[in-house]
Amino acid sequence: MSRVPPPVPMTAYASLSALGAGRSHVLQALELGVSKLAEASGSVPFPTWLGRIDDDLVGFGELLGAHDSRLARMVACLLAELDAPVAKALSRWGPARVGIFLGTSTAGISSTEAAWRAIKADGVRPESYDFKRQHAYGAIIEVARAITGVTGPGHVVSTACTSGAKVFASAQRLIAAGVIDAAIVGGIDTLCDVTLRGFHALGALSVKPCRPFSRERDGISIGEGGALALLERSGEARVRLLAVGETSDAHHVSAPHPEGAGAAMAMAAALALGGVDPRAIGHVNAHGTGTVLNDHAESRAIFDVLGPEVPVVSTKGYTGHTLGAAGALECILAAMALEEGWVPASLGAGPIDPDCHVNVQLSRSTSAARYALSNSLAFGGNNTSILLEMP
Amino acid sequence: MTTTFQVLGVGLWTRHHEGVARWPEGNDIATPKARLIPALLRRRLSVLSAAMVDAIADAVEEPTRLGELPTVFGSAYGETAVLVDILNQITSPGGNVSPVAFASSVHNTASGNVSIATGNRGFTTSLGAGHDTVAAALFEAFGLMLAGTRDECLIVVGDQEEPEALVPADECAPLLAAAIHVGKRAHPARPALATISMPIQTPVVTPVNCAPFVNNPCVGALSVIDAIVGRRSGPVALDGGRGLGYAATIACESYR
Repeated sequence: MSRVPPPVPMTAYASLSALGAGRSHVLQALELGVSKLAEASGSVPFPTWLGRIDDDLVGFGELLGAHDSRLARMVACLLAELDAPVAKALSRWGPARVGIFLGTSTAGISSTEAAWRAIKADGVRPESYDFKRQHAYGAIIEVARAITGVTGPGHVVSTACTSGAKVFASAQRLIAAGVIDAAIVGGIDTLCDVTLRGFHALGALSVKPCRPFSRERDGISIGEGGALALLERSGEARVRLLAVGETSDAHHVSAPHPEGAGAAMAMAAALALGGVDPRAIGHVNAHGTGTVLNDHAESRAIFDVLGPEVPVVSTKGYTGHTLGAAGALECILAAMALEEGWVPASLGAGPIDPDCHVNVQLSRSTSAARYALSNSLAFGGNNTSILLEMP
Repeated sequence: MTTTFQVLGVGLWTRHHEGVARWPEGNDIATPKARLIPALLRRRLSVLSAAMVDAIADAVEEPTRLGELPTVFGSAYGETAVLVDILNQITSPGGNVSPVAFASSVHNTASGNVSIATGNRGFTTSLGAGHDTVAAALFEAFGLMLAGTRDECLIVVGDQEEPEALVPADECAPLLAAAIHVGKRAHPARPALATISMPIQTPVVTPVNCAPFVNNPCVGALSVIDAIVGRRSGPVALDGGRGLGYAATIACESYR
C-alpha cells in the first residue's frame, strides 16, 4: 500500500513578478483586481501584452560574476527576500541537509539570444557570455548555492509550465525519505524572444490582455517572474504543503487532453495523497491560460473532480503566464489567498464561457476554507496539482 | 532508511555504441533509430531525444512496461540543436519561428514524446544539474521509491555536442544517452545486474574507458554502466570530476 509523504510546513516564501516584489504589492493588486499586464513595446513585431518586471536588477548582477544573467539576477533578488529564514534553516538543519530545487522553462536563453545576435553581427562570441554558467539549466542551482551556502541535493526541473510546481513534490519526497530536512523550492522564468515568437507561431498569443475562462478569450499573455518557498520538516507553517498530484496526458506535445483527463487525475491524486475531501477545497488557482483549449479542458477536469461550485480563479490576468515559474508563483498566490481569507477575482473572465461549467470568480470573495488547489498543465501533457492547507 | 536499490537494466547509445552490448569496443558511426516511437512522432525527434529512446529500449526488455514506469529524464543542456535552429530562425529576416521546432525545443521533449508513445499517464519529469545531472536523477528516483509511492523507476539521461559557436571547442563533449532501470526488488524471472546506492559526496576517479566522454555532463551514467559491464564493485564517480563529487556504490551480482 502506498505511503503518503507527510505534510511539510512552508515557513517562508517570496515572489517577484509584474506585480512587484514584496507581499504588500502583490496583495494590493489582487485585492483591488489590478492587472499589471502592459502592451509590448515596438521591439516585439506583433501585438501582444506582457507581464514585465520593469527592473534590470543591476545590483544583483554585480554579485554574480560569470553567472550573471537576468534569470540569475531574479534568483538572487528572491533569495535576498528569504535571506533571514534561509540562514535560520541552515543553522538549524546544517547546509548538507538543505536541498535546492528550482524550475525554469527558459533557463538562460535570453543571454544566449543576445550572444547569438552578437555572433551573427560580429562573428565573435562575446567575452561576457558563458554557456555553461548562464544558459545551462543547472546554472541557477550554482547561483543559489553560492548565495545561500546550501550544499544538499539540488536540481532544476524543466517540464515547461509545471516546472515550478514539480519541485515542491521533489522536496517533499526527499524530506519524507530522510535525505534532507529542508529545501528551497521555486520557479523562475524571464521573457525571451524564443517563447514570444514560439507562442506567436503556435497562434497562442492574445492580442489584448489575456482573459482566462472568458467566452471572448483568445490566448495567453506571457509574463516573467518567480517565486521561492522554504519547506522544512518542522517549524511554524505559514501554510502546509499537503501533496502534489503529478500525471501525464499521453495525448499531444502541445495541446491538452480535450477532456482534461490528465488534469483531473492530477487533482484527484493530490486530494487522495493529502487525504482531503473534494468538498473541503476553498478555491482552485487554475492554470487558466486564456487559450480556448486549456480553459475548456481544465474546467472540465475541475468539474469532474470538484463539481460546479468550488471557486475558481486564474491569476494570469494579473501577472501573465510566467511559464516555468507559474507553478511556484501561483502556488504562492494561492497560499496568500488562504492566509488572507479571500479569493481574488479572475481578471477578464466576464462574460464567462458557458462551456466552462465551473464557478469562475468575477469578483473577490471571502473564504474561510482551509484548503486550496493550484494547477499547472504543460507542454508534453505534464500536469500538476498542488494541495495546500492553512494551519 | 534504505539507501540501496536494484539495477534491473541498463541501456546506452552513443554515435559509436548502439547498446550496452557494444561497450566499450564500439561500432561504426550510427544514427539512433527510436523504433519505440511511432513513425509520425519519430520523424520530429531530435538526435538527442532519439538517442535517449534507444537507450530506453536497450535497458527495458519488455516495452509494454514503459506504459507504467515512472521516468526521470535528465539533461544538463537540453535540446541544444533545436535551440540553434530556432536562434537562426529568430535572427533571419522576418524572424519567424517554426511552431513544430518550438514545441520540440522544451527540455521535456523526450519525456513528453515517450509518455505519448507508450500511453504512460503517470509520473515523468525532466531535470538538469550540470555535471551533477546523473546524481540528481538518482536522488529523484530514490525519492520516488523511498517516499513509498513507487517500486521502480527508469532514469534516462543524455546530452549532445554543445553548439560550436557558443562553447569553446575544448569544453565540448560527444553525444551520450544512457538509461538505468532501478527498483526495490529484482524480478522473479531475472536477477538484478547490480545494486546501486544513494549518491554521496566522495572523490572517485572516472574510469579510463569513459575518458572520451568526460566532458559530457551525463558521463556518470556511463561510468555506472562500465562498472556493471566490467563486473567491478565499488564507488563510481557520477560527475566525471567536474561536479560536486557525487559517487554511487555499485555492487555487481551478475551480468547477462
